Amino acid sequence: MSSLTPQSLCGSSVIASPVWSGQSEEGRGRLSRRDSPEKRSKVESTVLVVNDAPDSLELMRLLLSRAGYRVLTAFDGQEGYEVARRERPCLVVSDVSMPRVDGIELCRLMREHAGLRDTPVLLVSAIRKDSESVVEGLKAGADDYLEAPYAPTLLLAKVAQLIERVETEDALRESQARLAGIVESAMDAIITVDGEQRILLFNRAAEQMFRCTAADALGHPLDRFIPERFRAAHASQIHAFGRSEVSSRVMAGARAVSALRADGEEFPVEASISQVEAGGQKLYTVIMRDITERRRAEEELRESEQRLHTVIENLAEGLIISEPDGRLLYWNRAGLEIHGFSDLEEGLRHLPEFENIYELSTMDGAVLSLDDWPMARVLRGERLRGFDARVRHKESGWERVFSYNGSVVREKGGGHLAFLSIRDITERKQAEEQIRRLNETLELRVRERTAQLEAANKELEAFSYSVSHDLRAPLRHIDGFSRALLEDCADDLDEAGKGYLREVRAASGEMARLIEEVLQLARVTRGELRREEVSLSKLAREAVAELRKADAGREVSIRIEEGHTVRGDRRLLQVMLVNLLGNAWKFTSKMERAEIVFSRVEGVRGPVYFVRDNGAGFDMTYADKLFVAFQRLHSLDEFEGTGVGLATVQRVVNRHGGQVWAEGAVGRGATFYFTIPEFEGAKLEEQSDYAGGRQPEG
Amino acid sequence: MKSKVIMLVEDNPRDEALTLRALRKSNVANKVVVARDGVEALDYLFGRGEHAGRGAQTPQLVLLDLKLPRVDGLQVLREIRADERTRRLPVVVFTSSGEEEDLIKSYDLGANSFVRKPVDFEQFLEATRQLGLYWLVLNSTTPDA
Repeated sequence: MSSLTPQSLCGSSVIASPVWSGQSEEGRGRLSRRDSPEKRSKVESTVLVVNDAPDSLELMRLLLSRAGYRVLTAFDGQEGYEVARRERPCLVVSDVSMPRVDGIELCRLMREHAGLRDTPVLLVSAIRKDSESVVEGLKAGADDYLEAPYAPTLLLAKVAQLIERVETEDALRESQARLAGIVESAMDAIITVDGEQRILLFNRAAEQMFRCTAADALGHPLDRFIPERFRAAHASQIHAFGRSEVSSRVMAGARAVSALRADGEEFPVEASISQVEAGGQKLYTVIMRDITERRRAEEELRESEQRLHTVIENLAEGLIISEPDGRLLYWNRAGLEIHGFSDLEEGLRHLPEFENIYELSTMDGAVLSLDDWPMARVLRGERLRGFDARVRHKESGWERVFSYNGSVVREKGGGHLAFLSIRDITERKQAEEQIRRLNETLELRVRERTAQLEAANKELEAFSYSVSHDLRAPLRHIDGFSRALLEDCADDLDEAGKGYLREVRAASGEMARLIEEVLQLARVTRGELRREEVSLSKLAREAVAELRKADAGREVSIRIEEGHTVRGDRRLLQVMLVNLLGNAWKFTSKMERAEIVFSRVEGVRGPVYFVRDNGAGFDMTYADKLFVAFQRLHSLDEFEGTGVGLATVQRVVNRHGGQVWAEGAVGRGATFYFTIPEFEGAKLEEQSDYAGGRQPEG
Repeated sequence: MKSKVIMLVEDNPRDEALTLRALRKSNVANKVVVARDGVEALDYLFGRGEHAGRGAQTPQLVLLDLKLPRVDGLQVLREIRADERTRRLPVVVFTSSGEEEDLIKSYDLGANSFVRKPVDFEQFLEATRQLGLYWLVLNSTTPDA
């Protein structure tokens, strides 16, 4: 025992320590059943001397003090026991025969006291007198004895030996406690078995890993934690290991071993095994790590790599990876395809070899030397972003335009790989070229069209100007002279003649109105649209006032809702409302209780204004013809009119970027809806309408 | 003392006839001088060409049609306003055109009034009568014109 050092206790041989192996019944692998050595004073060794003979006591005190011990004294077993309990000496040296409590009784008392159980006792006896007692004292737990009279050197030797034993045992206990802490707090499962594979140690991590308490595991064979199909192999491996001289090794090499939880679940572990010989038998300790999670992570990584690979293989872009020395490592499918290779072998070459196959040039046609090839630049550490080049296959002569992106990716080991992605942009380049050419001609064509339109507009203006002058003059003359005839020559005309002249005047009046409306239609089409705040309600009121004045005899119920304001051209909006309300006025002329409403509803894209009447209405079948110039849905006998008014309305609304539509039924009135949008986009529509709208209609 | 002549610049004989009749019906008794185009009108006003030697003659009122052969109505108006002698001469642009542009140009050039010749004879008569009342009967031109 004296040769043991705390260092040696930490070695593998401790596993075989008899102290420890003896613990198995207590479970949980707890190594110490004694008090913690820390409770003991270690400053200097204290010796308690118990003797009822003052001379002997003093002699011994002197001897021991001189030898460097701290000495306590007591005159009998009773007092000795009390001092020992209080002072906890390292050693008790006691006389055998003493009054009250003798040395043998003191031994017995100490052995029964938890704190003094391990304190060694040296009995001192007169041999002739007390030889019986010595035997009894050793039985009672004394550690050694000394016959009086004794040589002082012998006393000191015995004391020193006993104290050294105590100290060594303390150190051993401390070391064992530390080891127990390590074993218990270890993340890995630690299991010790004997040669028969019975479990001697089962730490906390093992309990968690195998879902089995130590109490349940200890003493039972290890087999229950090994999947059945591996049991035989495991046993033979352990035996082989036991016969070998190797003290420890990793089980199953790099491969993981399967283990079985108490609930039957199998799981992968990484394990190492060590062996020691103790008390003539082999003990094996296995340290295991549950690698289920790691396995899962590895599996996930593998799957993720597989996914990545699938993605890369299915990319429309080509991808090439090169070693730093220009040896190409990898081509994805698109990479091979756009280069015209049918299998990977064709691509896995050294970069310079491709110079025999391809010629690369810039978009301007300058041939690139191998050093300026995209992969060469990336290999030099350049980061390529959207580098476009023409690639010509030397043998077949095909030429494509590729766009390159690339960079170097440094790997963990310090090496680096060059990645180059390639997109075939031949079609895009062709399209761009086409667009560029089209753009060049487009401006020219726009200029031509504009000139044509301007000419057409001038013609139209000249036409309407001449209509307004030249067509109206003869009408004015027909009317004027008819009037003069009626007034100045009335006496020479009979009633029939006067009637004919009145028809002439009526006809010229109608034609004048027609010309007037056609001119209005032309006017709303031409000219700049001047937007300002316009009250539709006010314009409607004014239009109705005019209608009432011109046709004072009619009773019409008219409701104009107030407060409807838009941004638009006042003059055009006025023309529009006069036409819409005039229409409603006209088509309600045969109703007993004519009703006309101007109001607004909220539409999806903003307000929708409407003029509603309860007049003649129209057949929805012909709704699309309402707004076409000179289209009439009613005969002139029913309602007079030119068929231009609604065309004018539509033109005005369109010029404001709005829409106009109608709903109605024969005999049940009509509603005309229109929108005047506020949004900026209206300008655009207005312009496009402006361009198209100046063409003369029908 | 200025003459009581009204000048009618009108190339269309029918309009001329109807205008003269309307003036008559409106009880305008002034002598009416008719010019058939812009050149004739300017010659009369400034004593040139056919009217050379007769000196400038300033009428009471000019009824000016815009659409005229040779020199059009707007040019005639421009020259009337440019000459010191005729700067204040009342000119009524008298046309069948309803074009806004004509109206704006006429006012810009200094027309005193713009009357669109209505096709309806009664309106025409009314317009003429009102003109007659304003310029001739009420005689409100500047005193020293």
